[in-house]
Amino acid sequence: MEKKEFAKVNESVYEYKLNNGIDVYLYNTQKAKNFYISISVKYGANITKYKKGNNIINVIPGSAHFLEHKVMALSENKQISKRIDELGSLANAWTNYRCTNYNIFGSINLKENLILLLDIFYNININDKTVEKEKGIIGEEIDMYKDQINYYMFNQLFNNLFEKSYVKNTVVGERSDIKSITAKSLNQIYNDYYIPNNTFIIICGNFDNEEIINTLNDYMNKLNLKKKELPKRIKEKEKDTVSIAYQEIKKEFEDVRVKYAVKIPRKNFKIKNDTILKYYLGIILRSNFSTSSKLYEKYKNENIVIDMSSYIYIIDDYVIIIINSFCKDSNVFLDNISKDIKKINISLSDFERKKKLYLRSYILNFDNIEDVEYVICDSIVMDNKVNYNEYNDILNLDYKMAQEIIKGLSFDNISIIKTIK
Amino acid sequence: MEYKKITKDNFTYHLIKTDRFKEINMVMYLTKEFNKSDIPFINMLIHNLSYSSKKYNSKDKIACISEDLYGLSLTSSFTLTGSCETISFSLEFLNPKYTEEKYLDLSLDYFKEIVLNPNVSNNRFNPEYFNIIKNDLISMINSVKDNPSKFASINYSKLMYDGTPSAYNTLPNIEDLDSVNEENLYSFYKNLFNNKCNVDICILGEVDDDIVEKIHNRVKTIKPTNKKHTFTINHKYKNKVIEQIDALKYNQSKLYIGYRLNDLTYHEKMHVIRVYNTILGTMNNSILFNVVREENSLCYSIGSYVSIYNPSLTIYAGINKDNYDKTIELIKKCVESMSDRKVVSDLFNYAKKTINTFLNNYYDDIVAQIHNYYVGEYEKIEDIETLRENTNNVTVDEVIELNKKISLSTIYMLKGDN
Repeated sequence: MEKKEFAKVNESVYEYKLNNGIDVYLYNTQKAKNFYISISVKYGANITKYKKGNNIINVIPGSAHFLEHKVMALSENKQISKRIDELGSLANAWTNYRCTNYNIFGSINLKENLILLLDIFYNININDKTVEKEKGIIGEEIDMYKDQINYYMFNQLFNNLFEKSYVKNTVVGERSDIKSITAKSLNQIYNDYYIPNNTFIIICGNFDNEEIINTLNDYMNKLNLKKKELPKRIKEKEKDTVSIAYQEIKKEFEDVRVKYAVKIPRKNFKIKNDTILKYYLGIILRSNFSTSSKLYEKYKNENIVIDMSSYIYIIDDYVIIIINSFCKDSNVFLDNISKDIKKINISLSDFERKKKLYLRSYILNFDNIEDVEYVICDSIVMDNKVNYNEYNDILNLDYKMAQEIIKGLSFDNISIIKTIK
Repeated sequence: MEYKKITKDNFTYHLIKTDRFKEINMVMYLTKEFNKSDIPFINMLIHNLSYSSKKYNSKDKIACISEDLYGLSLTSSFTLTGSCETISFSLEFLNPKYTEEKYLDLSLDYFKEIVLNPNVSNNRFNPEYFNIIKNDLISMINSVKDNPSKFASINYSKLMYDGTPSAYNTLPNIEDLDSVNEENLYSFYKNLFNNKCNVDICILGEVDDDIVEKIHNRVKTIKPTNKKHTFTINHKYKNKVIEQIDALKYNQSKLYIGYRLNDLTYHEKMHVIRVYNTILGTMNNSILFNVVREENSLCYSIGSYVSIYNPSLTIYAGINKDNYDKTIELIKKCVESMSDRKVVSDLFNYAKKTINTFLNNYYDDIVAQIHNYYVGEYEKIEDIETLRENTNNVTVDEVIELNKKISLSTIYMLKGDN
């Protein structure tokens, strides 16, 4: 077991690898009365096709999320469900493009909750009857997200930016997608991806490290999971150009929502680490488009926007920058932003000031155990390791590098989506 | 954790000293009796104050200063709590031990500048920004319809709480905004700070006692009233059940069902209803979750919540419009089943354990702790451990008995007509 210290904040995590290859991260703290434990698999909706042996398997969109519902099927596993209730714990799960996470939040008997969580994860029973039943629930979830206009527009925009990428599908899929999901297709994914070398466990709370590791070792010894080869994700080759450059969505909205997106090849930027690149791009975009920018002030004073914000995504081999606007007249906004985005720049004082925002956010992540769990989980999924030196990484962000990154920005591939009446 | 209450010049300071968090929080609450004509004024006021000040006389200058102070955040909000309206200014900044000692004073100076040094000349708010904010508010009001959950909740409250402050949305009607201009807004602002409101200031974090003096020196130009308010509304619900369906072009329909809580005792209102609501709609295997979602696949989201100050219980669900009748029938049966001893007994102990987990979370929740001390100034409340003890003493009989005091009042659906 290795103790790792997070820079600046006097916080640490113990890392341990179980014999079967599962990585365990123990965040031991006395500040919380409750505990938060999770087991995650590095499998999400970004896997649309994979190779296992000589077989190519196409994944039905929405499968990762559907599988999450069927693994966390507490109403079908009365014994586990009853015991979780008896302990007063709350069990939940989530799926994104890169990860599926199962978690329990509780206050009584961490060790037993951990065993229950492992039982949920490993004792699955997915059959056609329960899969069909779940389709009604997930169908309502899909409809709920579709009514969230920003979520819907982002999904449409990603669909337009790419020809073949995984982001063309939403994490939850469409009703038409989930119709074709079967118990067989879900079991296959479970067997291929829910394997030790693709799984990690995070435990946050006040506990005895040795006791937890012994519990995990005992459980895993009984389970006797064998290491398996992780299937190879098949990534479709993508064109640099956008698939659809312009889309209007008809809505009965008084004001207009516009998203102006730029697709830039990842190779334009020298920095290899996606997280560091996102820091730089975040600082650059905030300096140019957030409320502290001169451009935001100008757009407000000239009634060009009601509100404006920016987003960065790194999707496989591309960086996506999105300028998001809520405005009265989309044409006026688009005329202006299409010129102003090419004038992106940054001053040294802006650069140093924006770094402070990231420092604050890093420090405050340790104020509650759910945030700590999320930070660890996200690091592992994004970088395959926890970054204990994030504070110094932020301090060391370099102004000259930011200027280099600005040179790598190209504005040839644009996709626009907006609402119309 | 150490708590001290300090009163000074009619200000009430709540000092919550703890090293549990890496940030320091300070919230100033201004509390007065609800007056519906205040709604447009308060909205315009809180947005004008946070948009620019005398010293930082543009949006970008304010934003730059807050970034310079390590992303300090100062948010203002307007809420209706029972019979009162509350304006709050909430300041959050990093504990200076992670930055530099000077940031404590700089952060408090920033608070004073934004709240007490508005961008006013000739007794009127800056007209240019006033108009920008007015237009922003109109857009905000119009966009409520774009969010089905919010729109449905507002419409439901109008029906359910008709005739009481809870029926009002904190956003004004567009036409009411015309009653506000740059001059009368400044008069409203000055009046607000002159014997009109109770002023509570809660400070939570790793701070010394002298912070109270530091804050007081910065805010003492405010003149709080010493007239005390209470939040509780004695609302007489109509006996007739109100049912209304509106339709808009959404994919999913939002269903709200309101039950009135009749003549609850203090114990029922504070403890028994907490257990009742957990069994019915908030725990893992709540009755609503199991029956409506898991057994009948009628929804993804379903749950319930209680309003203490306007005693009521609300059940919400996102459903398909075609399942309206079936869902209502099942929800009514779920509520009826709260009189069934076996149903309640099966979940009773688990519900208490779940409540205990939620109560533990109080110690990790800055907002909950601050709010609790604020509410305690206006209503009888218990410290969290007393609340835990009294909730743990609730019996199955009390939960079943409480079901006799619940009656259906309102059914509202915002039909997704896409």
